[in-house]
Formats: sequence, structure tokens, C-alpha cells
Amino acid sequence: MIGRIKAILKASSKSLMFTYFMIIMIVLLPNALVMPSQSFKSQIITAIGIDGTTNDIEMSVLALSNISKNNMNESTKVISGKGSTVANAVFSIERQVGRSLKMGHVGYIVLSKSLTNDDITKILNNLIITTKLPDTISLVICEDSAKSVLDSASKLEQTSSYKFREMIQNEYNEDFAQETSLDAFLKGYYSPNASSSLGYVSLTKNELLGVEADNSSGEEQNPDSSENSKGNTNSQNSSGQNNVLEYSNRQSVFKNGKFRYILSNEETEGLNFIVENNLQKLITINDINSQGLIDGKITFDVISEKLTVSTSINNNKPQILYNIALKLKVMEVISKNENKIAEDRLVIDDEISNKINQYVKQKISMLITKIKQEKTDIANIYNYFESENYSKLMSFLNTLQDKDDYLSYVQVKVNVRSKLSTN
Amino acid sequence: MNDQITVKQAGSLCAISMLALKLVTLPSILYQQAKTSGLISAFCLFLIDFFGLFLILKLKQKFPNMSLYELLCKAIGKIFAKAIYIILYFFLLLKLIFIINEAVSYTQSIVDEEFTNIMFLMCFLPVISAVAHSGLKSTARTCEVGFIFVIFGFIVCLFLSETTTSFMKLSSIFESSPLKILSSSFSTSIWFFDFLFLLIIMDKIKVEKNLIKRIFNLIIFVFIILFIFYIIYFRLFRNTAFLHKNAIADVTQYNRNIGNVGNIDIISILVYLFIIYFQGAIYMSCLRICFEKIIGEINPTWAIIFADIILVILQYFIFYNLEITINFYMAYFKFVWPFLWLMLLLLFFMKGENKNDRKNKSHIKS
Repeated sequence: MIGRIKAILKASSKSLMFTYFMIIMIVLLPNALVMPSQSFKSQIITAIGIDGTTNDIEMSVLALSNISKNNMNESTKVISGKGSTVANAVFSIERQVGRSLKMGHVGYIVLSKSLTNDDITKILNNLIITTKLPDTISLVICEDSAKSVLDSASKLEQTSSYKFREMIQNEYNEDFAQETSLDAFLKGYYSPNASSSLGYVSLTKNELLGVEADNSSGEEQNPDSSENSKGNTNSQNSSGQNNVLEYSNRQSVFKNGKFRYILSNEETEGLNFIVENNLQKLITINDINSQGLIDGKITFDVISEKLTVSTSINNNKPQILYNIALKLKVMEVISKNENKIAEDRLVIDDEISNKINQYVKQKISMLITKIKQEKTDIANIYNYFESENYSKLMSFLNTLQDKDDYLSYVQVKVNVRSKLSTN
Repeated sequence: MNDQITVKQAGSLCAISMLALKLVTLPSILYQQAKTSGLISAFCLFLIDFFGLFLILKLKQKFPNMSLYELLCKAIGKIFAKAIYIILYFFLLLKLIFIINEAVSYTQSIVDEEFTNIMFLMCFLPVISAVAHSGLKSTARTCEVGFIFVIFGFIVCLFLSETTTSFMKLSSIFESSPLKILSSSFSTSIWFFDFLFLLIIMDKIKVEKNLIKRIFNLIIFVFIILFIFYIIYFRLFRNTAFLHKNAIADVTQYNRNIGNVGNIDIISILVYLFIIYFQGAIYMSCLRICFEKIIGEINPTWAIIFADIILVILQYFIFYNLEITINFYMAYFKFVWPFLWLMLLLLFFMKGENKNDRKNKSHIKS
């Protein structure tokens, strides 16, 4: 037996690669055998919330806890730390849990509105450098404390199959969620106009809106949730009362990294008509008196939208033309008379077509008025001019005293064509 | 003569060399230097590279059976020939270190942030050394087969990025001034000059018909794909390009749709790692040949072990991270390439082999 082993070793020793392999094994294997498991050294983080101010950061993280459960839902805990910088806040959390934070699984960041009076890119850049976060993750602004939002998101995930991450992330939910990623924000921030937009979430007590986040649905209580009132590593809601997460498609708009305003629902609708996205849109028109309807109200679902944009600058007068072709499906018809036309028999006549045009143009007009007033080009109008009329744009900008005010000189025209989907 | 490679294999080696250093940090640096006009900078450098490749292939046609060493001996004498080989040796060594640093940085960002230089060298050096030890023919055959998978994977990566739902049109490529474009080309030239290794192995390429045309067909094909990749990158990231220093990974990851079907970053990881392994093997083979010319006849094992030791020392003590490497190369490389061009042009204008020489030496395949 020993002779056979010796023969094998002798034959193997002629192979350079085998010798190398053996050296590596001898050097590394003993060390690898006595090393503790990665799960003892690392703490996986799935979300980050930041409160406080840019000089006094209160960071909360949603930490994945590895406990055995009888359901498939993720078990998470909210852990908080404080520091004058992002690195200090991260270290404060690491010291509490005794593990290093691993950010590769972070799905979203929630920033408190209180932070947004300053340029939030200071925090975001530090966050990217300190924690090596990918910039494709979602970023939302919250009305209240970010810690409360994480707490509610954690409860929601433990007591139901809903996930806050899936509600806000465009990649999961491209029909309903606006893009609100770190990358989209930074692209806007570093654009010539320095304007960008982010999703907006709030915690309310209004039971008519939003998703209820606590355990009142009667589903099984996770053991983690009962321990939520101790120390810093709890998930207690800071107000103790708010329990409904409301995430609408309204956008918060930033200029130079500072919060400026929130788009109204109408303005957000207008924005969705003139930017390329796959979001579902509804058009509701009133006072229809054709095809047998009396003061009728029709709701259309926009099945598809084809947007073509052309720009021109003549005599230093920039003009942008949006051609919008809509394919619609009738969703609902309401009329004051009883014998209303059936949904599948309705056709788009001149009156309906005009009303649709009016509806779309009104929403876009509201948006354009707002962004001109606030000098926030969240519709990427600059980019359209830049790609089609670069030299003319540059000479036009040179004539302006305030180059940032270019939007107020842009004339916007909208053409809308609509037809019913045959499917 | 047993270590000779075919024209197709030489084309594969050139194509892999063209890809190895251009998929990670280069697009980001081009955008930082000259914004969208960085595309013009890259285009100019590609043209210069192609001209260099053309000269090397013409040189091969002119002196079909002579090695670079023989040519240099004939032109400037044995001592200067050895001196030039020492310069070429360090040039290839530094290029290899650059590739290793890019690969370590890529692996740290994409695979494991605790990954170190030494861990990478432990995985990388034995493999490229073993391939180089088995001879140029084996290296070329491995690259020839691997190239098909690499290029297929790269095209898949492009398609993955193209399905991204919304990104703006590319702004004017004349965004920056000509001076800025020139300066950008100048400082990023270290990412180019990929075909110089061909000089070292020129005597090992079989002389076949349509040598130049066949190699250029492959190179132009790779160039088109690479340029489409750059355009996609510039369109996707624009102002935030400085954040995206792992171009091939970021372009693929950026796709919103793939998040739903699981993690398929593995395609870009495999493509990139295969490319750098092949490139490492090519450079290690060239280092072995250079060492043999400098020292004289020597066991290839010792030539490779020597290269490994120098590589580990430089990597561990001097070029221990990507930032230091890039700063060093961007500062000093611009002084090296005029010298390399001078050498190439000098060789090109040398008098060709006479008919008797050719009769005695050539093994031209008809």
C-alpha cells in the first residue's frame, strides 16, 4: 500500500501543475479549515434608510436574519446606527451586530425628506464609495422617517407576500412603477440642467390609500416581530401609529441635488406621456354627447403609445414637437341615459377624439408650465435638442444671460392621434 | 518549425488582444477625458493600431522566414537587438500587469470585494504559464477555439444591453474640441498598441495566401462589435460614466428585464475572464520567446518561472492597485510609443530578402 502511494507521488511529482496544486493545498487548506463561516462574519443587508441631516446621519438597515421558519417570507430586522459620516454610521451598525455589513443584496434606499434641504448627492456618493453599492438600486424619498418606512416594509414582508422592493422597483414592476433608481437620479444630477426626479413614499393613517403594513390581517406573526421594542436593533415604528405605506407614482423633483417640489397627479400623467416608459396610463374624458351618450364619461386604457420627438431651432427660437400615437381600449362607459352604448361598440368619433387630444395636451401643458417655472428639465428636453441640433443649441445658449433658463424659451407643440385597439 | 501557427490562429490572437484591455475601464476614461467625443479618440487610436498591424503584416510578407531578432541583428547589430528585446520584454510585462490589475479590480467589484492581487495571481499565473510552457502552437489553438465562444458571449452581452427600455439618443460626437480629442487619444494610448506582440512571433506564422486580408477581415469584425459596445455604453451612462468603471459588467447589469429572470451576469464574467486568460497566455508565450532571445538557448521552464517572479514582484510591490497602474501608464507610456513606432518604421523600410535567401528559407504554402 505504502509502495503504491509512493509510486503515485513519484509519478505525480513529474507534473508541475500537480506540484503547484499540492503546495497551494498545504498552504491554504489548514487555514481554510479553521476559518469561521462567512455567516458569522457578515450581515446581509436588503435595504437602507437614512434620516437626520447631512452632518448627522442616522442610518437604518434592513438586516436579513437567518432563522428557521415555516414560511418562505424573508425574516428581517431593522438595525440603526448614527455617525457624522456615512462610514461612521455604517461602523456604528457593524459594532452593534458584531459583523461586517454586506450590501450586495440591497434592493432600495429610503431617504428622509429632512435630508433633502442639502445636496443629497454628498450622502449618495459617500454611500456608493463606502458601501460599494451598485447604482441600479432603487432610491425613494419618504415624507416621514426612513426608519419607519423600513419598519413597515419589514412587517409587510413578514406578514404577507407583498414586498416593498417589488412595489417600487421598475424592473419588477415596469407597468406601474416609475423608474426611481440611484443611476437615474445621478444621470439627471450630472446633466447640464442638474434636474432629476425620484419616487415618493409616505406613511399614512388613511385606510383608503396604500398598503397596510402591520399584522392586523391576522396572518401568522413572525417571532422576530414580537421582539421589536428593545434597544436600537428593533423595528418599532417611530410614531407607533402610522401603519399604511402609500407609494403612488407621484415624483419628487430635485434641482442641484436639493428637493424642489412634488409633481401633482396631473403633472405626473403629463410627464408619462412625453417620456419613454412602459407605465400603464388611463384617460378619462367627460361630457360626451355622441353615440347615444348623454353627458357620458369614458375611461380608456392606453394599450400602447408611440412617441416621436423632433426639435428645431430657427432664429434662436427652439421648438419641440411631440407626436403621440395612442392605441386605446375602452374600459368603462357611464352615461346619464339608461340605454348607453356597449363598450365594445364604441368608436372614436370627432368629439371623442377632440376630448382625448384636449385631455393629453392639458396634462402635458400643466407639466411644461411647472417645469418651466421651476427650471427643472425632468422631461429631458435639453437632450433632445442636444442630439438633433447640437451646434444651434450651443449658439442659442450663448445668447442667454442665464443658460439655466433655456426651458422658458422652448415652444412645445403636441400632436395626438388616437385609435382603438383591434385586439 | 513545429511551433508554427496558421493565419487564422494569428487572427484569433490579434482579435483577443484587441479585446482584452478595452472592456473594463477604457470607455469610462474616454468619456471622462473627452465626453462623447471620446468615441473619436478611440476611433483614431484604432486606426493607428490598424496601420501598425498592416506594417507588421507587410513586414511578414517582405521577410517571410526571418524573426524580429534576425531582422534587428541585420539592421542594428546583436547588442542593440538584445537591448530592444529587453524593452519589448518589459513592455509586454507591463501590459500584462495592466491586464491583471484590471481583472483584479473587476473581480473585486463583481465577484468578491475581498479578492486580493495574490489570490488572483495564484489562479492566473499557473494557468497562463502552463499554456505558454506547452508552446505557441498550443496557445494559438486554444485561443482559436476559445475565440468563437468569447465572441459569441460578447455578442450576447450586447443584445442583453440593447433590450433596455429607455435611453436617450447619443449627443453630438463633436462635443469636445479637437485638442481635447487629441489629448484624450494621447493619454489613453496605453490601452491600445495590442498588435506589437505579433512582431515577436512573426517568424512563427505560416505564410499563406491573403495573409493581410484574412487577418484584417477578423479584426474589422471585432472592431465593429467593440465600437457598437462603446456606443451602447456612452448612450446608457453618459454623465455618470465615471461611476461605471466595469463597462462590460455594467452594460449587461443595466438591463432592467434580466432582474426578473435571475442573475445572468455570469455571461459577461465568463467572457471577460476567458479573454484575459487567453491574453495572459499569449503575452506569457511572447515573454518566453523574448527571454530566450535575450539570454540565448534556455529551458522554457526557467524563462517562464523568471517572468512569473518578476511579475509577482512588480505586481505586489509597485503596481498593487489599478489607480496606481493607470496613473503611471497615462503619465509615462506616451513617451514609449514614439520609440516603438520608430522601430517599426525602421524595420519596414529595410531592404527585403533576396531571391536566393527566399529560395533557401521559405516554406510558402501555395
